[in-house]
Amino acid sequence: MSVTRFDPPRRRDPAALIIAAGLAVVAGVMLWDSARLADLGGYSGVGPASVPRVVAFGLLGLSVWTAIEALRGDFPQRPRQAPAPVLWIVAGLSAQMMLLHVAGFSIATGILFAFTARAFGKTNLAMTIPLGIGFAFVVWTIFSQLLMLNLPAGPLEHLIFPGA
Amino acid sequence: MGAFDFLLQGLATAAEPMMLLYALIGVTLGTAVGVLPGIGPALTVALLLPVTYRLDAAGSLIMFAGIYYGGMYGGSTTSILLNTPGESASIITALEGNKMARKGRGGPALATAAIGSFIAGLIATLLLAFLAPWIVKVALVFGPREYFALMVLAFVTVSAAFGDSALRGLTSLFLGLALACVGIDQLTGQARLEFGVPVLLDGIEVTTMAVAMFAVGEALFIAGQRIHIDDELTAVKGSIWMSASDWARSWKPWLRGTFIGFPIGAMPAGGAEIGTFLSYATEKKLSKHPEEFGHGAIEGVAGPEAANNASAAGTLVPLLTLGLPTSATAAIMLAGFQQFGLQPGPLLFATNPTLVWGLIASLLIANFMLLVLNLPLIGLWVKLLTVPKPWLYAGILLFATLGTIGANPSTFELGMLLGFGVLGYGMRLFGYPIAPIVVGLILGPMAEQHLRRALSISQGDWGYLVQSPIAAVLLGIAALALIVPLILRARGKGEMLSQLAGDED
Amino acid sequence: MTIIRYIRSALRMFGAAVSVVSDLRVNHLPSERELNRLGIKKADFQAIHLN
Repeated sequence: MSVTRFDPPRRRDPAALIIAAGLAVVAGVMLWDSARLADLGGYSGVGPASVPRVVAFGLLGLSVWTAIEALRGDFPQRPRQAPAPVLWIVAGLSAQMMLLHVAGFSIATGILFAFTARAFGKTNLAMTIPLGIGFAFVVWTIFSQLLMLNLPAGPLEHLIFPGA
Repeated sequence: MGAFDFLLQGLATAAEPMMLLYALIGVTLGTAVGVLPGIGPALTVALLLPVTYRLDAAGSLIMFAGIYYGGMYGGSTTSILLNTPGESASIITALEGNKMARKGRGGPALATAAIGSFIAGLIATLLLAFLAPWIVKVALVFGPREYFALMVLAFVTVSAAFGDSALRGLTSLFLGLALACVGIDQLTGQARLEFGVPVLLDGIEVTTMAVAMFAVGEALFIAGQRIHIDDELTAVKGSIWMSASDWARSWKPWLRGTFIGFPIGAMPAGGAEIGTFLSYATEKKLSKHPEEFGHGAIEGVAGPEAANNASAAGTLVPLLTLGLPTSATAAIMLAGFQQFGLQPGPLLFATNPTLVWGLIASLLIANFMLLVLNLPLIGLWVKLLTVPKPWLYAGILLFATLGTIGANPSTFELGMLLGFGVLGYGMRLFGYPIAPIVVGLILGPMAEQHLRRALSISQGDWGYLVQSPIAAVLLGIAALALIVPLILRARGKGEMLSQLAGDED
Repeated sequence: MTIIRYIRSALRMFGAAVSVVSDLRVNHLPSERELNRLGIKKADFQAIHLN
């Protein structure tokens, strides 16, 4: 573990201000949504809109608090991160999401597998994609055929299990 | 019938071959995920929720509890041999355990950890069995306002509202509560925050959320660090057995660790880790060899390892008797109960004693299994440690998405997984704790129901919430737990700032 | 007196443990003062690979 020590710089933190704005937006959406609910409070005066409103006001308060900390530079320093590996994994998950119903579980998940391995330093996709598809297919067989889990089948699965 | 008779009946249930098999699968998986860094019991139970959907309820719950116990055992192995804690509750074990391993005393370190875990697990499970009926009796008089107060207390303590991160803990909690509002309102049937998307009418799937937070967010964060430490595996040399002096120095720390860990796990004070740190500090204070601490003192392994297993059993006390989770893993286990239409609490003890006592008794059996799995078979687990990171995380994400697809094979669900995963990554990046958002999502709807029931009893009078002494005391403690650290922090601020260190990688 | 001192020291230890744990949950390195209260040397603690 290599720990970098530093004194936090006391200056404005734009990223934290964005978080504060985001919290305010979530609160706004909740208030807007609760306004259109028919409040069937009955005897209690507390209906389906009440709790979302309380939560929304809580979030608004936290948004203000976040903004104050952001302006005072009280937010903790972020660890340095490399964007490329993070994007590889996001790309893998997106690919799986889009391919799942077209190509089936094994191919879609195999690509996720290979892209994740790529993010952690296994760069040879020509090797990892087939490996991932093979592994995912074994997993698919076990979980969909033995444990009866509903996993989408694609051309590969149909080829080997025509009934699936 | 006393607790003892119930426990015997439970043992009869738990000794059925199928239940034994579930327990064995649970403890084996639990040890494995305990050993593997980057994957813990909370994530594992979350992944298994969709898989166990069609299996037997009692068996699945026994398996989940086995995973929880097993995680506590397995975490120590990596701490001792690799200086890399597999679980946050084993961090402190690395302190003395790895030093012992480097001196060629890895065997006794692993042994004292496993035997200590066993003894602590046994005593704490018995304590759970004998305490539970008492708490159930007390809890029978609890009405909606007491439950609401209990949940508020759990919210405050789980949000790590202590010290530096109160703002971020509460933010994480409120985001969870906001997500909990999505879907059909359980009392009036009105759709909330569903934005015309039919899938959202059922609310946010706990599995998707937990898996995204624990697996996807974590994988993104670790990948982004880009630091590949070559973990140095210290081979287990010499005898794995403890010498007479090891035994003499271990048994008291085991017992003390048990009695420190159990109440801390049972209190809504948030997690097993606190007990391990306290146990370490206690052992160092009481030791006849304080100079050995920092150089491989066996007490520093024995005490904390006992404490973390006792905590795991302690966590089950409020979970089973009140339906109140005090840690992320317990919250996911609560989701497991709910998946089978069961609500832990005093009523479950009355309506389904076979299941509850079978579960408690199976923990005793799981403990024996774990002792066997972790002492003679330690070599097998050590092999797991040599799985390279690319394959490990690729595998974790494969199973993470498998769980989500299994629950609901839709593109939208995977999109939510990705979205929450990125949110979890951002939260890690900015120092927001993950447990509160998960606990908020799971506990939020229950807290809301209790609140609204309480207020309909009182016809809208909010003062009713604090008119019962129990509820008033619980809410008072919650308020103190929130406010006192903030005041202390404001007072000691100058001092804190100079010491504020950076993030670890 | 000794009882009061004992309780105070136990409470201080508890406070330190809580604070160290809440730091760790958000990937922060706990402060040296809190670690010392628990009898842990910061250098030893930093030697652990946390991820």
